[in-house]
Amino acid sequence: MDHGWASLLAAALAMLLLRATGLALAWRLPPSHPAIAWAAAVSEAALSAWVVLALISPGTWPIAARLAGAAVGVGAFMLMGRRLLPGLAVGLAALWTADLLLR
Amino acid sequence: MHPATRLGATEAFGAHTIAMAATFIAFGVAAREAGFSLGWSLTSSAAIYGMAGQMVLLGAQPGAGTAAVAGAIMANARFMPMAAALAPLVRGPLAPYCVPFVAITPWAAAMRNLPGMPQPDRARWFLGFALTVWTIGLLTTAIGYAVAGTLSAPVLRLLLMVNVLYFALMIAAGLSRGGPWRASLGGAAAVPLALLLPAGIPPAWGLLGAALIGGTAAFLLRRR
Repeated sequence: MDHGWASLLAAALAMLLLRATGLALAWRLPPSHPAIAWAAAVSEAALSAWVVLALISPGTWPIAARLAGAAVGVGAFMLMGRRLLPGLAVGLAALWTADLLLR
Repeated sequence: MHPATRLGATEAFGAHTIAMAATFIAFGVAAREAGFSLGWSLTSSAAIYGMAGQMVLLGAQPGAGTAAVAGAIMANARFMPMAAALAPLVRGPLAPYCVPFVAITPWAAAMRNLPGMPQPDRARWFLGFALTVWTIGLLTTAIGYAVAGTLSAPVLRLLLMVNVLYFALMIAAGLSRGGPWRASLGGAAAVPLALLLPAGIPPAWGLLGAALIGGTAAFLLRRR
């Protein structure tokens, strides 16, 4: 699949440039510099926006099931001492159960 | 091996890496189903090394290569501010070697752990951690590619939700520790703007817009 390789190599180069540019921009700035604080805020916002979009955009799971899975998973995570794997397992089980109930 | 590098490699074996491995298994399955070779799939995991962009790039079918590349860049554009946020922590001669490994799992672990470490150890710890999870990403991509076709559709659907729940829990963990709640809330609150995009515009543009608007608003509120 030649076209796939061309796209992959172009994207890989772009990813390297994105990362290297970020590092170079911040090379001589202290951690408390406003530009670093802004960059950290944007990256944190990107992560939460990505999660919310993944939860509410059309997809293979009903939105209600995804929201229920996330809510139950986060709740279990907090109640079980912020342990990641139990939180994940409970969240996925809740997602599966909610999907079955919604059918 | 330097003790800090060994410590980073050891600490890489945790719940976050198991969750990340599940997303790479799912990627291997999806890449094979989309018609890409094992070499292409491994190169994607090695050089893109960011699941959102990797999934978008699976759309690089004939006639859609440029759009897929642009979408993948937008989906992973957060790598630039992430690298900028990481840079002061890994400053030194090893910093350039850290560049290819700026991705969610090592970055989140680094932002949590590096501030409490002596400056000379930080880049070494990061490289130990990041090289380990990167290698696991490659291995699990190959596993996913190999088992594609043997997984049932419900199991595959569930695998594709692992990374969403994983990052939701990471955000919840950060917030419960008094983390950057304004930025997390800002990104989430700006999502409706992404949903207002006209039809035909890749969702990745909406993600970038929500991140820039929500993150900048959070930054400005913090500075007041």
